[in-house]
Amino acid sequence: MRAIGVAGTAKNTGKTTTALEIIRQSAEAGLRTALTSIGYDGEDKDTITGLPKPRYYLPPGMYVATSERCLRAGSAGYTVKAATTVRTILGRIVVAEIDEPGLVVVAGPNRGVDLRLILDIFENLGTDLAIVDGALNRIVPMISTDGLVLATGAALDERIACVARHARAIHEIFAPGRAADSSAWGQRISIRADRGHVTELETGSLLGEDTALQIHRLIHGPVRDLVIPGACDPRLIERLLDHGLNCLREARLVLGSPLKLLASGDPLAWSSLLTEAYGRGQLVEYIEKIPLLFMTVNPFYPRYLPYAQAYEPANVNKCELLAAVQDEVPGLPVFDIKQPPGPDLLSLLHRSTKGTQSHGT
Amino acid sequence: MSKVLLAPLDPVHDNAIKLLNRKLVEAGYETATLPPGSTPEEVIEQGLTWRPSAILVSRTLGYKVGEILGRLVDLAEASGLRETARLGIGGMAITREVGAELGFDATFVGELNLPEVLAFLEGREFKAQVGDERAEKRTKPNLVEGYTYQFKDTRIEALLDAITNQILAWAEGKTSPGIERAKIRAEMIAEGVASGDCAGKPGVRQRLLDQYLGLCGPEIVAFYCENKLPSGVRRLRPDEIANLPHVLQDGRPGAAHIRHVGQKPSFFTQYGTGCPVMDVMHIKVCEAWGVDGVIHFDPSWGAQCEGLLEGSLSHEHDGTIVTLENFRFIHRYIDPGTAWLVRVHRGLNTPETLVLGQASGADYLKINIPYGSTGGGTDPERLTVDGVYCLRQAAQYGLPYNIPGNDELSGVPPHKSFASLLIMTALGLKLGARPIPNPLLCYSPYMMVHGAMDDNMVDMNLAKLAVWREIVDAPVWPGEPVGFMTHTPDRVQSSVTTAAHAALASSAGAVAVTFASSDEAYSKGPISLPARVDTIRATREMLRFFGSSQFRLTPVAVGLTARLHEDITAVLRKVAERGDFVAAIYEGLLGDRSDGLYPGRSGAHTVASDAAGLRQILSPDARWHQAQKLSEKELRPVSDRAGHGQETGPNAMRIGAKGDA
Repeated sequence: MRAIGVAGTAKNTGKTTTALEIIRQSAEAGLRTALTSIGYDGEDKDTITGLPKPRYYLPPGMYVATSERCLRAGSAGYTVKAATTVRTILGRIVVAEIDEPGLVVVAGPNRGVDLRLILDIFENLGTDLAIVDGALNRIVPMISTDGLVLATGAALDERIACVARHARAIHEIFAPGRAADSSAWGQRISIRADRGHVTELETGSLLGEDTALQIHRLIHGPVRDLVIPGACDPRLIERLLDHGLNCLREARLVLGSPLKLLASGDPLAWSSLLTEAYGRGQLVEYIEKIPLLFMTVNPFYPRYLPYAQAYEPANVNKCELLAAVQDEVPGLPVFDIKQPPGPDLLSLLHRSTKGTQSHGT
Repeated sequence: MSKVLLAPLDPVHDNAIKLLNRKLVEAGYETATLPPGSTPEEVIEQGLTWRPSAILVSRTLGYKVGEILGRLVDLAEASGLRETARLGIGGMAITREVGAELGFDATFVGELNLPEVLAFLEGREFKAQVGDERAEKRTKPNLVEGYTYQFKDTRIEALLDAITNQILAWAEGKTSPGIERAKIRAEMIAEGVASGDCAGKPGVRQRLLDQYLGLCGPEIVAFYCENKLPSGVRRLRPDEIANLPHVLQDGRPGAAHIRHVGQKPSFFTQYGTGCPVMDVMHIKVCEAWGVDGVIHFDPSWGAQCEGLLEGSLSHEHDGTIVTLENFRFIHRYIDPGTAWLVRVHRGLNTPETLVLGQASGADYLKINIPYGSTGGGTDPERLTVDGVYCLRQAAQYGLPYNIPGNDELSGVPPHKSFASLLIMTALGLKLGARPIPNPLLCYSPYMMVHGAMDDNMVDMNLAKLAVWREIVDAPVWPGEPVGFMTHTPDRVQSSVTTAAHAALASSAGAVAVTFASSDEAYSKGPISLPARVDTIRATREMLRFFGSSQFRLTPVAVGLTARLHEDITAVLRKVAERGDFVAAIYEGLLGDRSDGLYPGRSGAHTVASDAAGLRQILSPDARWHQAQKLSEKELRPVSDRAGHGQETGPNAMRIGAKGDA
């Protein structure tokens, strides 16, 4: 089974539209497909803007993991195949097989550990392709999947150039490879001196100045590896570098995963940091790796009307958006799902597997 | 001790966090709060340092705010904090669906509900919210408890004694098709053959049904014999009935009371969408928002034909059809802590409606003979006979009844309306029943024409409540609904005026209040649930605003009370002097044509001394005879009706016709 995450850079960037196209092509290819979400998807209007949004209409034979309550709220016929112990705000999650096509409300596991459990159930049921729908800009639980599809668009920023730069930054974040010694590192921030001695902090994340100062105090000479397995604010790494820690400038930087970087800071800041690191000849690697398979772009955005205190649908130029993003991420397929010709998404989904890409300096 | 990190992700406001902090400290939790404007990174950093078991976030939702909250959740996951700390969120516009989308473990919607927060912190299941202390305290109100029904005004007491003695003497030995059908219905229920789909005893069912149909109008006979449904009526499908429990399964039980202080008044709202399934939805929503009781309303046409339908029936217009099955279906879903009132004075089916209501679990009844006998209602003679029968039944079953004063809406002045309520109060008491008068708090035509509310609506309404305290120690339940005719198509305006009237009634010691949905008068279709909630919320806020403070009688209100008291006494004196309650209604002593009130005509000349007499009355020839008599009444001027109750000859019609011509 392959598990694919469909994430978005923001709300309304086209996650569901992309996932629906993958489902459509999977059904045509006769694949046994499964769907879940790390959030909630099923309302016909956006919960914030009130604007219409696409809904999941699932074909027979597909599996879905969602809360019992949400299953009943949809129009699809179903048979529950497995109950789980995973609970969400909207109730206990069950895995069901769609008997009759119809609308489905999907509210799946919101934590990575729970997502892994659901994916195991899908696999045991003989699923060929599991799709994990993202929620807003949330992305970290997707590490349990085999590859990521990213939806971006004007809902992130109405300025096409900004969307394109953002896309390039994300692409760059996914470039570093998996560290060969990734299994050697635990859950804490570790500093390996040039001579091999390892010092650990209590925490695994670098999110505040206190932690940054702790690192600063612990470094007394050349550093071979700085390992930050959790969340990490790129501005704090820059600050460490800016405050005389030249010994860090040649250290290998081992970070948690590209998803943790995306969750931790502005992709543009990471892009800048990575570019500078590469410029110094510094090696950047991940403990966990996930490939970015392709991107989709969506020209739609909700335009706020201050006088009406409401939103109206709006679009940027779809051709300009697609071309701009394609130009910024050479080598990565980019599509507007609604612009012909329709891409063969299934072949792209099977293009690469987790951890096989090798990136670096 | 559990540690809870409280974080306002709002750039400015942290009131909710401060309030929650105080409550959690009082509940024994160790808390830490972050200042307004904290970033997701700062929250997670603090969490990693302090290691709380839960992080509670407060934030008003807006565009792009979702992404900030999503980042917080993602950071918690990326940092590993999520493995040890659970995440909860509350704030304006946050819903459970939004919380799920954001990836939180709990969402706190609406005002702070501490038991819900504590349940989350203690890791109890969501259904543990049944333990909400406000839900547990939900008990069915007893509206008559503690009242002595002693008359403080002995003049009025004496007049009422004379009037009610006359009524009971007059009604003695009389019966009607409605009463006879009620007896048959009661027997059908006792025999277990009240439903068409009942198993067993087919012979008993058929025998009783034959007797029943002999007392019914042609529309009802066609329903039972030819399966002809009235226009706009259909049977509920089995799946519509079967699916309801699933729909309700995830409903949130319990809610705050509408009251802010004290145990009174109880708040009642009316339902009657036409569809029993929809009614249940409305009832459950109203219960969730804190109403204490619900009132069943049926279509007006149901009062105008002899006999009731049966089965689970839906009606595409206003009002839910009275059947045993509909009643029992609805009652099954009413919370045990919610009082259920069935409007009994249903014209020609008044006694039978009582039987069905009682058999289905009604807690309160509603009946007012003078009001039901006027306007488009029932012939006064018929409803008096049926009404007295019902009051006896109410006493037998121990069911209190309220007495609506909605004849004010036709233009009847309050003193005449209240005289009727007092007669009904005294009549019930004499039969052993427990009455609850419903003086109408409204901007009635009488008030408009006479300018009695030109300056304000407080003085007159306070006087209308104060006068009851002067006359009798009885529970008073303003309705029905309060604020009638103050409402406009504007939902905000309607909610506000309803809430103002409810607050005034609460201040004046009302035992219960019936309020409307804010779109009730102008919905041009089914009443909507959001509009119901509007009114409830507005009322709750108004009661929160006033608390234990009170409206006081101004000198103007004191004067109005005294005037009202005297006028009520004068009306009762006239009725007593007339010596014939039914004639008093016909003659307009309790509201006349100049008040906009006309005696009802349905069921005229259907009162007899026994069942045999009834059969004669109901024979085809007799019906022609009745039609002739009815025409006489229509054509004769009111002043000619002094001889009501005496046999009138064919000449009377000619004389009347000439007179009118």
